[in-house]
Amino acid sequence: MPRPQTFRTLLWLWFALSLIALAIGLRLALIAPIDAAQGNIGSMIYYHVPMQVGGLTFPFVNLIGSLAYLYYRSRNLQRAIAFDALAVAAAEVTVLNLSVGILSGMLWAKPVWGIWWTWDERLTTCLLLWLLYVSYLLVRRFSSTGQVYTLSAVISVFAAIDVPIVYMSTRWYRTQHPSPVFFSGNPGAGLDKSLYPAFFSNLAAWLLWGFFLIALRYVLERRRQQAQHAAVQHAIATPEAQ
Amino acid sequence: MIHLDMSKMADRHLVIAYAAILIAQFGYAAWVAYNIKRNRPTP
Amino acid sequence: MSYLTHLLTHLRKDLRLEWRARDSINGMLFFSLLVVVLFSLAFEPDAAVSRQISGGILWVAILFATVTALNQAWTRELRNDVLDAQRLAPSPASTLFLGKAIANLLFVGLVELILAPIFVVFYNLHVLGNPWLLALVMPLGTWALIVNGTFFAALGLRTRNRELLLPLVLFPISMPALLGMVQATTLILTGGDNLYAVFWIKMLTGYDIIFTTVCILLFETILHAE
Repeated sequence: MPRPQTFRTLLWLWFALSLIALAIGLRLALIAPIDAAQGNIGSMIYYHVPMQVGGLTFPFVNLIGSLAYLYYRSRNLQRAIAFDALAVAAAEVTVLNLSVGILSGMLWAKPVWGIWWTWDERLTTCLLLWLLYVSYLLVRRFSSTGQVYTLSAVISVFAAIDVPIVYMSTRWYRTQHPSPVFFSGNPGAGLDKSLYPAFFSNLAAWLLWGFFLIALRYVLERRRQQAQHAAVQHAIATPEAQ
Repeated sequence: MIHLDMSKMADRHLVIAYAAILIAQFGYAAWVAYNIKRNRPTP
Repeated sequence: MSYLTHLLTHLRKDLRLEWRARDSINGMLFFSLLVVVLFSLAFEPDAAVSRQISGGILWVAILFATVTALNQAWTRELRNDVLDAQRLAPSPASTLFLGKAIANLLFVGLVELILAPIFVVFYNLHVLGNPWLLALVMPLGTWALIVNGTFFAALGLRTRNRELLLPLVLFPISMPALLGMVQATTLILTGGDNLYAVFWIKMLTGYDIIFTTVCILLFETILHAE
Protein backbone atom coordinates (compact mmCIF):
# COMPACT_ATOMS: atom_id res chain seq x y z
CA MET A 1 0.00 0.00 0.00
CA PRO A 2 1.66 3.30 -1.06
CA ARG A 3 1.84 6.04 1.54
CA PRO A 4 -1.36 8.14 1.86
CA GLN A 5 0.17 11.24 0.30
CA THR A 6 1.35 9.39 -2.81
CA PHE A 7 -2.01 7.70 -3.08
CA ARG A 8 -3.82 11.02 -2.89
CA THR A 9 -1.69 12.53 -5.65
CA LEU A 10 -2.23 9.46 -7.77
CA LEU A 11 -5.97 9.73 -7.26
CA TRP A 12 -6.07 13.39 -8.31
CA LEU A 13 -4.01 12.54 -11.38
CA TRP A 14 -6.36 9.70 -12.23
CA PHE A 15 -9.35 12.01 -11.80
CA ALA A 16 -7.83 14.61 -14.15
CA LEU A 17 -6.94 11.95 -16.71
CA SER A 18 -10.46 10.53 -16.62
CA LEU A 19 -12.02 13.97 -17.08
CA ILE A 20 -9.81 14.69 -20.06
CA ALA A 21 -10.59 11.30 -21.58
CA LEU A 22 -14.33 11.84 -21.02
CA ALA A 23 -14.18 15.30 -22.60
CA ILE A 24 -12.39 13.93 -25.65
CA GLY A 25 -14.87 11.08 -25.83
CA LEU A 26 -17.87 13.40 -25.65
CA ARG A 27 -16.51 15.63 -28.39
CA LEU A 28 -15.82 12.64 -30.65
CA ALA A 29 -19.30 11.32 -29.96
CA LEU A 30 -20.88 14.62 -30.97
CA ILE A 31 -18.96 14.97 -34.24
CA ALA A 32 -19.16 11.31 -35.26
CA PRO A 33 -20.99 10.54 -38.51
CA ILE A 34 -24.66 9.79 -37.95
CA ASP A 35 -25.96 6.29 -38.65
CA ALA A 36 -28.09 6.36 -41.80
CA ALA A 37 -30.63 3.79 -40.62
CA GLN A 38 -31.13 4.82 -37.01
CA GLY A 39 -30.53 8.54 -37.14
CA ASN A 40 -29.31 10.49 -34.12
CA ILE A 41 -30.31 7.81 -31.64
CA GLY A 42 -27.50 5.60 -32.95
CA SER A 43 -25.11 7.81 -30.99
CA MET A 44 -26.56 6.20 -27.88
CA ILE A 45 -23.99 3.43 -28.16
CA TYR A 46 -21.12 5.74 -27.22
CA TYR A 47 -22.55 6.12 -23.75
CA HIS A 48 -24.80 3.10 -23.34
CA VAL A 49 -22.26 0.39 -24.16
CA PRO A 50 -19.49 1.66 -21.82
CA MET A 51 -22.04 1.65 -18.98
CA GLN A 52 -22.97 -1.96 -19.68
CA VAL A 53 -19.35 -3.02 -20.13
CA GLY A 54 -18.57 -1.42 -16.78
CA GLY A 55 -21.58 -3.11 -15.24
CA LEU A 56 -20.26 -6.46 -16.41
CA THR A 57 -16.59 -5.83 -15.51
CA PHE A 58 -16.77 -4.32 -12.03
CA PRO A 59 -18.55 -7.34 -10.51
CA PHE A 60 -15.24 -9.16 -11.02
CA VAL A 61 -13.55 -6.61 -8.77
CA ASN A 62 -16.30 -7.25 -6.23
CA LEU A 63 -15.75 -11.00 -6.52
CA ILE A 64 -11.99 -10.64 -6.03
CA GLY A 65 -12.61 -8.48 -2.98
CA SER A 66 -15.13 -10.92 -1.53
CA LEU A 67 -13.00 -14.02 -2.11
CA ALA A 68 -9.94 -12.27 -0.69
CA TYR A 69 -12.00 -11.29 2.35
CA LEU A 70 -13.12 -14.88 2.92
CA TYR A 71 -9.53 -16.08 2.50
CA TYR A 72 -7.88 -13.55 4.80
CA ARG A 73 -10.63 -13.60 7.42
CA SER A 74 -8.84 -16.04 9.67
CA ARG A 75 -5.30 -15.12 8.63
CA ASN A 76 -4.95 -11.34 8.53
CA LEU A 77 -8.13 -9.59 9.61
CA GLN A 78 -6.97 -6.07 8.73
CA ARG A 79 -6.18 -7.05 5.18
CA ALA A 80 -9.46 -8.95 4.93
CA ILE A 81 -11.44 -5.88 5.94
CA ALA A 82 -9.57 -3.75 3.40
CA PHE A 83 -10.59 -6.20 0.68
CA ASP A 84 -14.16 -5.97 1.88
CA ALA A 85 -13.98 -2.21 1.37
CA LEU A 86 -12.89 -2.89 -2.20
CA ALA A 87 -15.81 -5.26 -2.64
CA VAL A 88 -18.46 -2.79 -1.50
CA ALA A 89 -16.92 0.00 -3.59
CA ALA A 90 -17.04 -2.16 -6.69
CA ALA A 91 -20.61 -3.23 -5.90
CA GLU A 92 -21.88 0.35 -5.67
CA VAL A 93 -20.20 1.40 -8.90
CA THR A 94 -21.63 -1.72 -10.58
CA VAL A 95 -25.16 -0.81 -9.53
CA LEU A 96 -24.58 2.77 -10.70
CA ASN A 97 -23.37 1.63 -14.11
CA LEU A 98 -26.05 -1.01 -14.57
CA SER A 99 -28.84 1.37 -13.54
CA VAL A 100 -27.98 4.00 -16.13
CA GLY A 101 -26.99 1.29 -18.59
CA ILE A 102 -30.39 -0.39 -18.44
CA LEU A 103 -32.17 2.98 -18.44
CA SER A 104 -30.30 4.19 -21.51
CA GLY A 105 -30.89 0.84 -23.18
CA MET A 106 -34.64 1.18 -22.68
CA LEU A 107 -34.57 4.76 -23.93
CA TRP A 108 -32.79 3.49 -27.04
CA ALA A 109 -35.07 0.50 -27.55
CA LYS A 110 -38.37 2.39 -27.56
CA PRO A 111 -37.76 4.49 -30.68
CA VAL A 112 -35.70 1.83 -32.46
CA TRP A 113 -37.46 -1.44 -31.65
CA GLY A 114 -40.80 0.01 -30.60
CA ILE A 115 -40.68 -1.72 -27.24
CA TRP A 116 -39.23 -0.75 -23.86
CA TRP A 117 -38.13 -4.24 -22.93
CA THR A 118 -37.57 -7.80 -24.09
CA TRP A 119 -36.27 -10.90 -22.34
CA ASP A 120 -33.25 -11.63 -24.52
CA GLU A 121 -30.09 -13.03 -22.93
CA ARG A 122 -28.26 -9.72 -22.61
CA LEU A 123 -31.07 -7.70 -21.06
CA THR A 124 -32.13 -10.53 -18.77
CA THR A 125 -28.59 -11.03 -17.51
CA CYS A 126 -28.13 -7.31 -16.92
CA LEU A 127 -31.39 -6.99 -15.02
CA LEU A 128 -30.66 -9.99 -12.85
CA LEU A 129 -27.13 -8.79 -12.19
CA TRP A 130 -28.63 -5.49 -11.11
CA LEU A 131 -31.09 -7.25 -8.77
CA LEU A 132 -28.31 -9.36 -7.26
CA TYR A 133 -26.09 -6.38 -6.51
CA VAL A 134 -28.95 -4.29 -5.17
CA SER A 135 -29.71 -7.13 -2.77
CA TYR A 136 -25.99 -7.28 -1.94
CA LEU A 137 -26.11 -3.62 -0.92
CA LEU A 138 -29.37 -4.07 0.97
CA VAL A 139 -28.01 -7.04 2.92
CA ARG A 140 -25.07 -4.87 3.91
CA ARG A 141 -27.37 -2.11 5.08
CA PHE A 142 -29.63 -4.39 7.06
CA SER A 143 -27.04 -6.64 8.69
CA SER A 144 -25.57 -6.04 12.08
CA THR A 145 -21.91 -5.13 12.08
CA GLY A 146 -19.60 -8.10 12.37
CA GLN A 147 -21.80 -10.20 10.15
CA VAL A 148 -21.91 -7.81 7.23
CA TYR A 149 -18.65 -8.78 5.62
CA THR A 150 -19.22 -12.51 5.61
CA LEU A 151 -22.84 -12.44 4.52
CA SER A 152 -22.26 -10.10 1.62
CA ALA A 153 -19.16 -12.04 0.54
CA VAL A 154 -21.33 -15.15 0.31
CA ILE A 155 -23.85 -13.32 -1.86
CA SER A 156 -20.99 -12.28 -4.16
CA VAL A 157 -20.02 -15.89 -4.61
CA PHE A 158 -23.60 -16.87 -5.41
CA ALA A 159 -23.90 -14.02 -7.88
CA ALA A 160 -20.68 -15.06 -9.60
CA ILE A 161 -21.97 -18.61 -10.04
CA ASP A 162 -25.45 -17.56 -11.04
CA VAL A 163 -24.76 -14.93 -13.68
CA PRO A 164 -23.12 -17.21 -16.27
CA ILE A 165 -25.93 -19.73 -15.72
CA VAL A 166 -28.53 -17.02 -16.26
CA TYR A 167 -26.83 -15.93 -19.47
CA MET A 168 -26.54 -19.43 -20.90
CA SER A 169 -30.02 -20.57 -19.95
CA THR A 170 -31.64 -17.47 -21.43
CA ARG A 171 -29.55 -17.89 -24.58
CA TRP A 172 -30.69 -21.50 -24.99
CA TYR A 173 -34.25 -20.39 -24.39
CA ARG A 174 -33.89 -17.73 -27.05
CA THR A 175 -32.58 -20.12 -29.68
CA GLN A 176 -35.90 -21.93 -29.37
CA HIS A 177 -38.07 -18.85 -28.92
CA PRO A 178 -36.50 -16.10 -30.97
CA SER A 179 -37.82 -12.77 -29.95
CA PRO A 180 -40.47 -11.43 -32.31
CA VAL A 181 -38.46 -8.21 -32.54
CA PHE A 182 -36.21 -7.62 -35.53
CA PHE A 183 -32.78 -7.84 -33.99
CA SER A 184 -30.46 -5.99 -36.30
CA GLY A 185 -29.45 -2.62 -35.03
CA ASN A 186 -28.38 -4.16 -31.74
CA PRO A 187 -26.32 -1.60 -29.90
CA GLY A 188 -22.70 -2.23 -30.72
CA ALA A 189 -23.32 -4.80 -33.43
CA GLY A 190 -21.13 -4.50 -36.51
CA LEU A 191 -19.68 -1.06 -36.00
CA ASP A 192 -18.54 0.91 -39.03
CA LYS A 193 -14.83 1.85 -38.94
CA SER A 194 -15.56 5.57 -39.04
CA LEU A 195 -17.24 5.23 -35.66
CA TYR A 196 -14.29 3.49 -33.99
CA PRO A 197 -12.64 6.66 -32.53
CA ALA A 198 -15.83 7.80 -30.83
CA PHE A 199 -16.71 4.31 -29.62
CA PHE A 200 -13.38 3.20 -28.24
CA SER A 201 -12.42 6.55 -26.74
CA ASN A 202 -15.67 6.63 -24.76
CA LEU A 203 -15.29 3.01 -23.73
CA ALA A 204 -11.76 3.63 -22.45
CA ALA A 205 -12.74 6.91 -20.80
CA TRP A 206 -15.74 5.49 -18.93
CA LEU A 207 -13.77 2.44 -17.79
CA LEU A 208 -10.99 4.70 -16.55
CA TRP A 209 -13.59 6.82 -14.77
CA GLY A 210 -15.26 3.70 -13.35
CA PHE A 211 -12.06 2.41 -11.81
CA PHE A 212 -11.42 5.89 -10.44
CA LEU A 213 -14.84 5.83 -8.78
CA ILE A 214 -14.09 2.46 -7.23
CA ALA A 215 -10.81 3.81 -5.86
CA LEU A 216 -12.56 6.91 -4.50
CA ARG A 217 -15.32 4.91 -2.85
CA TYR A 218 -12.67 2.57 -1.44
CA VAL A 219 -11.02 5.54 0.25
CA LEU A 220 -14.35 6.53 1.80
CA GLU A 221 -15.05 3.02 3.01
CA ARG A 222 -11.60 2.68 4.55
CA ARG A 223 -12.11 5.95 6.40
CA ARG A 224 -15.45 4.75 7.73
CA GLN A 225 -13.97 1.42 8.77
CA GLN A 226 -11.10 3.12 10.57
CA ALA A 227 -13.45 5.56 12.27
CA GLN A 228 -15.59 2.67 13.46
CA HIS A 229 -12.52 0.77 14.63
CA ALA A 230 -11.33 3.84 16.52
CA ALA A 231 -14.74 4.25 18.14
CA VAL A 232 -14.67 0.64 19.32
CA GLN A 233 -11.15 1.03 20.71
CA HIS A 234 -12.25 4.19 22.50
CA ALA A 235 -15.26 2.48 23.99
CA ILE A 236 -13.16 -0.39 25.27
CA ALA A 237 -10.40 1.82 26.65
CA THR A 238 -12.66 4.30 28.40
CA PRO A 239 -13.96 3.08 31.73
CA GLU A 240 -17.74 2.94 31.85
CA ALA A 241 -19.41 5.87 33.59
CA GLN A 242 -20.85 4.65 36.84
CA MET B 1 -21.94 17.29 -36.11
CA ILE B 2 -25.11 16.07 -34.46
CA HIS B 3 -28.29 18.04 -35.13
CA LEU B 4 -31.02 17.48 -32.61
CA ASP B 5 -34.71 17.72 -33.36
CA MET B 6 -36.50 17.85 -30.01
CA SER B 7 -39.88 17.12 -31.51
CA LYS B 8 -38.71 13.55 -32.23
CA MET B 9 -38.93 11.00 -29.43
CA ALA B 10 -35.62 9.46 -30.47
CA ASP B 11 -33.69 12.69 -30.05
CA ARG B 12 -35.40 13.49 -26.75
CA HIS B 13 -34.45 10.03 -25.48
CA LEU B 14 -30.86 10.52 -26.57
CA VAL B 15 -30.57 13.75 -24.60
CA ILE B 16 -32.26 12.29 -21.53
CA ALA B 17 -29.97 9.25 -21.61
CA TYR B 18 -26.75 11.24 -21.92
CA ALA B 19 -27.88 13.67 -19.24
CA ALA B 20 -28.90 10.86 -16.89
CA ILE B 21 -25.57 9.09 -17.31
CA LEU B 22 -23.52 12.23 -16.72
CA ILE B 23 -25.61 13.39 -13.76
CA ALA B 24 -25.60 9.96 -12.13
CA GLN B 25 -21.87 9.41 -12.51
CA PHE B 26 -20.76 12.88 -11.43
CA GLY B 27 -23.42 13.07 -8.78
CA TYR B 28 -22.17 9.85 -7.26
CA ALA B 29 -18.57 11.08 -7.37
CA ALA B 30 -19.60 14.31 -5.68
CA TRP B 31 -21.49 12.42 -2.98
CA VAL B 32 -18.48 10.17 -2.27
CA ALA B 33 -16.08 13.12 -2.24
CA TYR B 34 -18.35 15.06 0.11
CA ASN B 35 -18.50 12.12 2.49
CA ILE B 36 -14.76 11.67 2.39
CA LYS B 37 -14.39 15.25 3.56
CA ARG B 38 -16.89 14.67 6.33
CA ASN B 39 -15.08 11.56 7.51
CA ARG B 40 -11.76 13.26 8.18
CA PRO B 41 -9.75 10.84 10.33
CA THR B 42 -9.26 12.33 13.81
CA PRO B 43 -5.55 12.86 14.63
CA MET C 1 -22.44 -40.90 14.81
CA SER C 2 -22.39 -40.89 11.07
CA TYR C 3 -23.33 -38.00 8.79
CA LEU C 4 -26.55 -39.74 7.82
CA THR C 5 -27.58 -40.21 11.45
CA HIS C 6 -27.06 -36.51 12.17
CA LEU C 7 -29.00 -35.64 9.06
CA LEU C 8 -31.93 -37.85 9.99
CA THR C 9 -31.98 -36.44 13.52
CA HIS C 10 -32.28 -32.91 12.19
CA LEU C 11 -34.89 -33.97 9.67
CA ARG C 12 -37.01 -35.74 12.30
CA LYS C 13 -36.76 -32.69 14.56
CA ASP C 14 -38.09 -30.34 11.88
CA LEU C 15 -40.85 -32.69 10.81
CA ARG C 16 -41.98 -33.22 14.39
CA LEU C 17 -42.00 -29.51 15.19
CA GLU C 18 -44.00 -28.73 12.09
CA TRP C 19 -46.45 -31.55 12.69
CA ARG C 20 -47.17 -30.20 16.15
CA ALA C 21 -47.72 -26.62 15.03
CA ARG C 22 -48.83 -27.07 11.44
CA ASP C 23 -48.75 -23.30 10.95
CA SER C 24 -46.35 -23.43 8.03
CA ILE C 25 -48.29 -25.92 5.92
CA ASN C 26 -51.63 -24.23 6.46
CA GLY C 27 -50.22 -20.88 5.42
CA MET C 28 -48.65 -22.37 2.31
CA LEU C 29 -51.79 -24.19 1.28
CA PHE C 30 -54.05 -21.20 1.52
CA PHE C 31 -51.62 -18.89 -0.21
CA SER C 32 -51.11 -21.18 -3.20
CA LEU C 33 -54.81 -21.95 -3.36
CA LEU C 34 -55.46 -18.24 -3.54
CA VAL C 35 -53.05 -17.79 -6.43
CA VAL C 36 -54.49 -20.72 -8.37
CA VAL C 37 -58.09 -19.63 -7.93
CA LEU C 38 -57.44 -15.96 -8.63
CA PHE C 39 -55.70 -16.64 -11.92
CA SER C 40 -58.40 -19.06 -12.98
CA LEU C 41 -60.98 -16.39 -12.20
CA ALA C 42 -59.04 -13.68 -14.00
CA PHE C 43 -58.36 -15.54 -17.21
CA GLU C 44 -61.06 -18.19 -17.42
CA PRO C 45 -58.86 -20.10 -19.80
CA ASP C 46 -60.14 -22.70 -22.21
CA ALA C 47 -58.29 -26.02 -22.37
CA ALA C 48 -55.74 -24.98 -25.00
CA VAL C 49 -54.85 -21.66 -23.35
CA SER C 50 -54.81 -23.38 -19.96
CA ARG C 51 -52.05 -25.71 -21.00
CA GLN C 52 -49.96 -22.80 -22.22
CA ILE C 53 -50.23 -20.73 -19.08
CA SER C 54 -50.75 -23.21 -16.27
CA GLY C 55 -47.06 -24.14 -16.16
CA GLY C 56 -46.17 -20.58 -15.26
CA ILE C 57 -49.05 -20.17 -12.83
CA LEU C 58 -48.25 -23.43 -11.05
CA TRP C 59 -44.67 -22.42 -10.38
CA VAL C 60 -45.62 -18.91 -9.33
CA ALA C 61 -48.00 -20.43 -6.80
CA ILE C 62 -45.30 -22.79 -5.55
CA LEU C 63 -42.74 -19.98 -5.40
CA PHE C 64 -45.04 -17.81 -3.28
CA ALA C 65 -45.85 -20.75 -1.04
CA THR C 66 -42.16 -21.58 -0.62
CA VAL C 67 -41.23 -18.02 0.29
CA THR C 68 -44.08 -17.88 2.82
CA ALA C 69 -42.80 -21.04 4.49
CA LEU C 70 -39.13 -20.10 4.32
CA ASN C 71 -39.62 -16.72 5.93
CA GLN C 72 -40.30 -18.39 9.21
CA ALA C 73 -38.36 -21.61 8.67
CA TRP C 74 -35.43 -20.44 10.72
CA THR C 75 -37.26 -18.31 13.28
CA ARG C 76 -37.87 -21.50 15.19
CA GLU C 77 -34.14 -21.63 15.78
CA LEU C 78 -34.05 -18.11 17.15
CA ARG C 79 -36.40 -18.77 20.02
CA ASN C 80 -34.73 -19.86 23.24
CA ASP C 81 -31.30 -19.31 21.66
CA VAL C 82 -31.55 -22.63 19.89
CA LEU C 83 -29.26 -21.38 17.13
CA ASP C 84 -26.37 -20.94 19.54
CA ALA C 85 -26.88 -24.48 20.74
CA GLN C 86 -26.84 -25.65 17.13
CA ARG C 87 -23.54 -23.90 16.55
CA LEU C 88 -22.00 -25.70 19.49
CA ALA C 89 -23.38 -29.10 18.54
CA PRO C 90 -20.83 -31.64 17.31
CA SER C 91 -22.80 -32.47 14.19
CA PRO C 92 -21.55 -30.97 10.92
CA ALA C 93 -23.28 -27.70 10.11
CA SER C 94 -24.42 -28.94 6.73
CA THR C 95 -26.60 -31.61 8.36
CA LEU C 96 -28.60 -28.85 10.04
CA PHE C 97 -29.00 -27.17 6.67
CA LEU C 98 -29.86 -30.32 4.72
CA GLY C 99 -32.21 -31.55 7.41
CA LYS C 100 -34.17 -28.32 7.25
CA ALA C 101 -34.07 -28.19 3.45
CA ILE C 102 -35.35 -31.75 3.09
CA ALA C 103 -38.07 -31.07 5.64
CA ASN C 104 -39.11 -28.00 3.64
CA LEU C 105 -39.09 -30.10 0.48
CA LEU C 106 -41.46 -32.56 2.09
CA PHE C 107 -43.81 -29.79 3.26
CA VAL C 108 -43.93 -28.10 -0.14
CA GLY C 109 -44.25 -31.53 -1.75
CA LEU C 110 -47.29 -32.18 0.39
CA VAL C 111 -48.78 -28.85 -0.70
CA GLU C 112 -48.10 -29.75 -4.33
CA LEU C 113 -49.86 -33.09 -3.97
CA ILE C 114 -52.91 -31.36 -2.52
CA LEU C 115 -52.75 -28.64 -5.16
CA ALA C 116 -52.50 -31.01 -8.15
CA PRO C 117 -56.13 -32.18 -8.31
CA ILE C 118 -57.34 -28.61 -7.66
CA PHE C 119 -55.24 -27.44 -10.56
CA VAL C 120 -56.63 -30.11 -12.87
CA VAL C 121 -60.15 -29.09 -11.92
CA PHE C 122 -59.81 -25.32 -12.21
CA TYR C 123 -57.77 -25.33 -15.41
CA ASN C 124 -59.44 -28.28 -17.13
CA LEU C 125 -56.02 -29.80 -17.46
CA HIS C 126 -55.32 -32.80 -19.56
CA VAL C 127 -51.65 -33.71 -19.82
CA LEU C 128 -50.81 -34.21 -23.47
CA GLY C 129 -47.20 -35.21 -22.94
CA ASN C 130 -45.51 -37.80 -20.77
CA PRO C 131 -46.85 -37.52 -17.19
CA TRP C 132 -43.84 -39.38 -15.77
CA LEU C 133 -41.63 -36.56 -16.94
CA LEU C 134 -43.86 -34.22 -14.97
CA ALA C 135 -43.31 -36.37 -11.89
CA LEU C 136 -39.59 -35.77 -12.47
CA VAL C 137 -39.83 -32.00 -13.00
CA MET C 138 -41.81 -31.31 -9.83
CA PRO C 139 -39.27 -32.49 -7.23
CA LEU C 140 -36.29 -31.18 -9.23
CA GLY C 141 -37.84 -27.75 -9.61
CA THR C 142 -39.07 -27.59 -6.04
CA TRP C 143 -35.65 -28.58 -4.71
CA ALA C 144 -34.02 -25.78 -6.73
CA LEU C 145 -36.23 -23.24 -4.98
CA ILE C 146 -35.97 -24.86 -1.56
CA VAL C 147 -32.20 -25.34 -1.40
CA ASN C 148 -31.39 -21.73 -2.23
CA GLY C 149 -34.37 -20.45 -0.28
CA THR C 150 -33.39 -22.27 2.91
CA PHE C 151 -29.84 -21.01 2.53
CA PHE C 152 -30.79 -17.39 2.05
CA ALA C 153 -33.41 -17.53 4.76
CA ALA C 154 -30.61 -18.57 7.10
CA LEU C 155 -28.34 -15.87 5.69
CA GLY C 156 -30.87 -13.16 6.36
CA LEU C 157 -31.71 -14.48 9.81
CA ARG C 158 -30.27 -11.62 11.83
CA THR C 159 -30.90 -8.88 9.32
CA ARG C 160 -33.72 -6.42 9.67
CA ASN C 161 -36.25 -6.60 6.86
CA ARG C 162 -35.50 -10.21 6.15
CA GLU C 163 -38.95 -10.79 4.60
CA LEU C 164 -38.00 -8.33 1.88
CA LEU C 165 -34.51 -9.67 1.38
CA LEU C 166 -35.44 -13.30 0.83
CA PRO C 167 -37.49 -12.86 -2.37
CA LEU C 168 -35.15 -10.10 -3.54
CA VAL C 169 -32.12 -12.37 -3.45
CA LEU C 170 -33.95 -15.57 -4.31
CA PHE C 171 -35.53 -14.46 -7.57
CA PRO C 172 -32.36 -13.59 -9.53
CA ILE C 173 -30.53 -16.63 -8.18
CA SER C 174 -33.42 -18.95 -9.07
CA MET C 175 -34.17 -17.42 -12.44
CA PRO C 176 -32.44 -20.08 -14.58
CA ALA C 177 -34.16 -22.82 -12.59
CA LEU C 178 -37.53 -21.06 -12.90
CA LEU C 179 -37.06 -20.77 -16.63
CA GLY C 180 -36.24 -24.49 -16.81
CA MET C 181 -39.12 -25.69 -14.68
CA VAL C 182 -41.73 -23.50 -16.34
CA GLN C 183 -40.54 -24.43 -19.83
CA ALA C 184 -40.37 -28.13 -19.01
CA THR C 185 -43.81 -28.13 -17.39
CA THR C 186 -45.40 -26.22 -20.28
CA LEU C 187 -43.80 -28.50 -22.86
CA ILE C 188 -45.02 -31.60 -21.07
CA LEU C 189 -48.53 -30.23 -20.61
CA THR C 190 -48.88 -29.11 -24.21
CA GLY C 191 -47.30 -32.30 -25.56
CA GLY C 192 -44.47 -30.35 -27.11
CA ASP C 193 -41.03 -31.56 -28.14
CA ASN C 194 -40.04 -34.26 -25.63
CA LEU C 195 -36.35 -33.87 -26.36
CA TYR C 196 -36.52 -30.20 -25.54
CA ALA C 197 -38.35 -30.91 -22.29
CA VAL C 198 -35.65 -33.43 -21.36
CA PHE C 199 -33.03 -30.77 -22.13
CA TRP C 200 -34.60 -28.43 -19.60
CA ILE C 201 -34.81 -31.27 -17.07
CA LYS C 202 -31.10 -31.91 -17.52
CA MET C 203 -30.39 -28.22 -17.05
CA LEU C 204 -32.50 -28.24 -13.89
CA THR C 205 -30.58 -31.25 -12.57
CA GLY C 206 -27.27 -29.52 -13.25
CA TYR C 207 -28.53 -26.41 -11.48
CA ASP C 208 -29.65 -28.47 -8.48
CA ILE C 209 -26.29 -30.22 -8.20
CA ILE C 210 -24.28 -27.01 -8.48
CA PHE C 211 -26.27 -25.02 -5.98
CA THR C 212 -26.75 -27.84 -3.49
CA THR C 213 -22.96 -28.23 -3.42
CA VAL C 214 -22.37 -24.50 -3.02
CA CYS C 215 -24.96 -24.21 -0.25
CA ILE C 216 -23.53 -27.16 1.68
CA LEU C 217 -20.00 -25.77 1.37
CA LEU C 218 -20.91 -22.25 2.42
CA PHE C 219 -23.46 -22.98 5.14
CA GLU C 220 -20.89 -23.33 7.89
CA THR C 221 -19.48 -19.92 6.94
CA ILE C 222 -22.77 -18.12 7.40
CA LEU C 223 -23.77 -20.07 10.49
CA HIS C 224 -20.67 -18.81 12.24
CA ALA C 225 -20.79 -15.38 10.62
CA GLU C 226 -20.66 -13.47 13.85
